[in-house]
Amino acid sequence: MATVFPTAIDNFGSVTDNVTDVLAEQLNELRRAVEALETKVGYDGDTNVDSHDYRITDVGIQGPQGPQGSAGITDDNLLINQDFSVWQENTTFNNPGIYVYTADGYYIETNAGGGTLPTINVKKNTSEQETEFEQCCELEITNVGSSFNYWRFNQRVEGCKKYAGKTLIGSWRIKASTSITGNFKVWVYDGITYTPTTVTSLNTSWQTLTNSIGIDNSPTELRMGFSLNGVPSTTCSIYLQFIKLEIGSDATSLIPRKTADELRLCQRYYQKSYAQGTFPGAVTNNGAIEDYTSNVNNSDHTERKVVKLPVVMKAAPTVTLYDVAGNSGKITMAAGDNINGTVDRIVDNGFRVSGTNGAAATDRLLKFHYVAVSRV
Amino acid sequence: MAKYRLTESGVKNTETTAFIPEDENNNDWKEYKKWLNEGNKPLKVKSKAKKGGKTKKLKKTKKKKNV
Repeated sequence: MATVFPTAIDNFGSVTDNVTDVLAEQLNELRRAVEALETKVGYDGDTNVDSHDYRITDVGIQGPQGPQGSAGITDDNLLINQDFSVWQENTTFNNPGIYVYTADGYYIETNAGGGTLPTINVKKNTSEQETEFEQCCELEITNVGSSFNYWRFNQRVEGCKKYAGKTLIGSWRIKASTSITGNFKVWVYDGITYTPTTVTSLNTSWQTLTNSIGIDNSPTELRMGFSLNGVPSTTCSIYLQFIKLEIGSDATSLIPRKTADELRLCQRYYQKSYAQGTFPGAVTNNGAIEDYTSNVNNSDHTERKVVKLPVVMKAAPTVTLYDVAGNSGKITMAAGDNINGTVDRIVDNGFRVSGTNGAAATDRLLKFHYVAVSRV
Repeated sequence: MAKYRLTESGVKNTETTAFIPEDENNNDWKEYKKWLNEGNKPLKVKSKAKKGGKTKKLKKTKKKKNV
């Protein structure tokens, strides 16, 4: 800790007689203030254990990421689902179209430009990943298309204005199933400037591609992605191990996140009642929200249930209901499945579901699954 | 059929069955507003009860499904 006090002031200890009383007292006050600061803070290398200098230096030596630490444990990636560990909607997306979300956080953008778009399946892959990972993302090109403008794999970052005027660098860990040539781009986009890094070939070894951008002082969005901007030389698979976007001009290695933390980050934008690994529309009772009462008045009835979301979402989410038979827009009640459900009172941390049974019954049952979505 | 139906606190997408809240930060609401600005009109709010006419007689259900 640097604590260099101005010695000219510090040593000004004796007030001479040839100044006015007022000035003398002001100088004395200043001297006493400096002395008090020195006592409290300490000098560089101070051995007084009560001084701040001693305490902070000690933390730096012993702590996991004090001032003297190197890598630190700060999570510096602005992206969610950095290593493709979260796939809440599905693990295979066959040729997803424009604006379709795939692995959590990542969506597709396309522009045929008068040609034919390639056919690309987006899949969770558990055999091609690097040794320290459990999965990677596979972009399986089954048809190379013709004369298309672009096919993009994007993630948008919330709160772009926080990065106004800063330099950001994105890095992509990437390889292909076979050597392939084409027009591949990695890029970071602030809504104003698009200056991608272009590569013309990929091979079977993992490599890191980077792209740096000085964010505009008034960015309108923050997005990064990988794209095909021309017909690739052959059908094959392109694998993405991780994507990172960080502040600064030097790309750093990926700092692993806890699985639970990664999921919570993703749930700010997408949540579901189904178990992880079970996808919306599945025929299952497991995970369903349910209320049940038996032996009540034999009558038709309306039931309501408030759902509290486990993670506060970016905004009040769009909510889709499913009955336990997998029918969307429906709920399950005493009369059975396929009953219209209504959602209201939607806020960023919950919503209310209502349904009318449609027939007299002595049971009261309200059961449903939900998907809540609030994208960036 | 129109893509959206008004609800008491937002709209329902008739194609996806999703309920969209009236929240300017919700992308689906923004998309709905854009659709409106293109001159489209949503369906009216579905009434909770039929006005007038015969009331459908409710049958007692004996089945207990998915309890």
